[in-house]
Amino acid sequence: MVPLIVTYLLFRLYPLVFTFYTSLLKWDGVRTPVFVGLDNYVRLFNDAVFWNALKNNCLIAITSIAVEIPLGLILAYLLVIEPGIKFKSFFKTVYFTPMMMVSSALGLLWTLLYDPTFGPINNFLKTIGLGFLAREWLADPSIAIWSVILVIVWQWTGWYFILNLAEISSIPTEIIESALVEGASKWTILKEIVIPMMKSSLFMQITLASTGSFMYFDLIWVMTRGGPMHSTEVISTWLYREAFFYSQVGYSSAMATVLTVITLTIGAYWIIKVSKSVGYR
Amino acid sequence: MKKASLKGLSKRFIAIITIIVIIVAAVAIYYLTRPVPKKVITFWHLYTPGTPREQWLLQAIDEFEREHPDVDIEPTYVENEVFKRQIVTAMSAGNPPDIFQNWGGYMYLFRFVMADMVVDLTPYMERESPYIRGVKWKDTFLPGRIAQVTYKGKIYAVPFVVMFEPIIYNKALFEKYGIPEPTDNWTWDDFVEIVQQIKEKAGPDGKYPIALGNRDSWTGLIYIMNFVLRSAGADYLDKSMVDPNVKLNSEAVVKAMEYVQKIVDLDPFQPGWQGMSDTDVVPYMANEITFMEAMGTWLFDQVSALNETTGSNLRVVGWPIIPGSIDTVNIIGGGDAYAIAKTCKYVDEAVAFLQYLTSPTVQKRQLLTPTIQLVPGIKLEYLGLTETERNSIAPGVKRQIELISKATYIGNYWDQGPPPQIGKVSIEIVQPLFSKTMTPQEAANKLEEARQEWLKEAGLVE
Repeated sequence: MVPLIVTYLLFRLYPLVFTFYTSLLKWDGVRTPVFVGLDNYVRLFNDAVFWNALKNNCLIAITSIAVEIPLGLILAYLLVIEPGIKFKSFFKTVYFTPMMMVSSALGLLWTLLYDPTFGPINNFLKTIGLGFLAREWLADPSIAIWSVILVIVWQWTGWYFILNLAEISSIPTEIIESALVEGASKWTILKEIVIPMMKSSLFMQITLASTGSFMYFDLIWVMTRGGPMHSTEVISTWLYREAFFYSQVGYSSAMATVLTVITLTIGAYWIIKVSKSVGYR
Repeated sequence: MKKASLKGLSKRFIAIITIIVIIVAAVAIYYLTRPVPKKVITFWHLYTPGTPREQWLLQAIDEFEREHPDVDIEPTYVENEVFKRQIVTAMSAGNPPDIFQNWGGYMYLFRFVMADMVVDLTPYMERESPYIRGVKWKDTFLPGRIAQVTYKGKIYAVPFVVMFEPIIYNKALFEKYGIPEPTDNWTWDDFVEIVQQIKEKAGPDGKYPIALGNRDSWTGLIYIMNFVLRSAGADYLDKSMVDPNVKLNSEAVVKAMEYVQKIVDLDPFQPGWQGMSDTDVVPYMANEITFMEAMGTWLFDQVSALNETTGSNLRVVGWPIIPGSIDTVNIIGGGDAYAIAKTCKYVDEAVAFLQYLTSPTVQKRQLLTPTIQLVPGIKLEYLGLTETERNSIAPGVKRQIELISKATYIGNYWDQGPPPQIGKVSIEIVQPLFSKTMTPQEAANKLEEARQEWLKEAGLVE
């Protein structure tokens, strides 16, 4: 018990407290800091870039919950329920491969795919006569965030696919078989049997998806650095830039503290919801 | 019986003697061959492993260590962007490398000087150079470069190269399409004419006038600052950081920014320029997709690494002279310098190494190695070049040297020279200015606001 508490205090609580303390300072990381109280938080409240970043984080969270999880779930379900699919391990590998790649390598790969002149995406569109759909995917501020979100969906759907595959596979086959025998359609089985049996797992996935969406950094930083013109900025990239490019360590700590509060709140909400609905299986 | 025990005794005796001999031999060998305790100097540099640049550095270290066997210089490569963050963290934690890269100015040098983390090199600089008789070490460098590493009258770093950001263009491409090359003192109209000719003649072949990777904004800042230098002048830029009356939202500054927007209006860049980094854009120059780029002279190295022929066809020219320009000779740029952290235990040895790095032998190598060819940090006259050597300098580099030697002022960029408030604004205004979502007056006003904030903080204004 004691080692657990000590580890928790040292590696979790102390950095949080220190970050909060730093958020009350005006500091460039090198010279003597100046205590400014809640000034940084007032500044944050008035920072348009921060609010835009928060909006982007919400967009990513919504996409995770509304697209990645359902897609992963359906793909997993189809793989389990369809009798005639050969080479199931092939599909498992294909869907899961993006998750096995380091985010920064992935970011680089997609930057090349999105290249407006040489990238395969635009060249393919031009070849099949849809050249008018070709865009400057990462350079156009109005669509850059969607180009990035597409990559995030591509990356993470496989993760939810594997999670849900494990969950669905653990449902006793007799339940599903008897439902099929009674003439229930595959979709009815999904809706009425499978999903209700996976409720706590799905809640966990939603929790991870939402908190993860707020902490996301690597891929976005590699692909766009949060640009152009902050259109793909998320809280973590903005706070990174403020801390390390603009030497606003105190201000960036305020952002980090706010981010922590947001993720703790989301996490707490879902955990409470889960504990209320546990016991279904 | 006696015979047997005698044999046993002598066996044991031999065994003991053998062990003693082995132990004595081992100890002797150890003491004779162990390395002499060395003076270790840690050194962070930015040169990618395997490149000619890194080779040049490692060779200099090697040669120095041979002359000074008690010194061990440990170089560590750190990637450019990572370095900028890491040096701050290291300084803050109080364990920086002994020798570290910087570019002069506030952000990566004076800030650490103010935190009392950097060795004052003035005493060494005021003494005679160990390699150039009769000349103070300080006087072997271009005055403009020394000014960039001087804070409150003291010199804190050693400039060992001069790089700047002119317009770099592909001579062969211009010739191929029959378009007149840019010349020194080319006017704004000349520039527009050239861009339009490129679009007409080479556009159908899928080529573009200018390569620009503006993802990280500093590439666009190059345009802004060079035009501001043209229209406002070197003296103005110099004073603007300390004189309350030299405002950054003056007519001259606004005009410069207007001309930057005029360039954007010409639509001269390759597609996707807003989202590409400077390195993403190197292949566009190397593969002759673009004719020109406003970039640091290290581009020669980067392009040559991809395509040696194209690299050898690159030339430089100064910035076009926009109407109302008052400055046509000075440059914005500078280049790398090495400073010594106060935590260094062997300052004299570190200085001796930096003196060797800026010696004629090593500096000559930096200029004449065909795959490097960078303008040396020390004045050309001290290199002792022979006629043959002088003639072997690539035309592109000769022009750089000409342009640099005309400059009496070498300005520092707003995101490196001045303090962070100004640095931040100078970066944040670039993309909106280039995408025309911000007017020049708005951008200039933001800069002036940041400057006022800095002046107050520095106690230069009420």
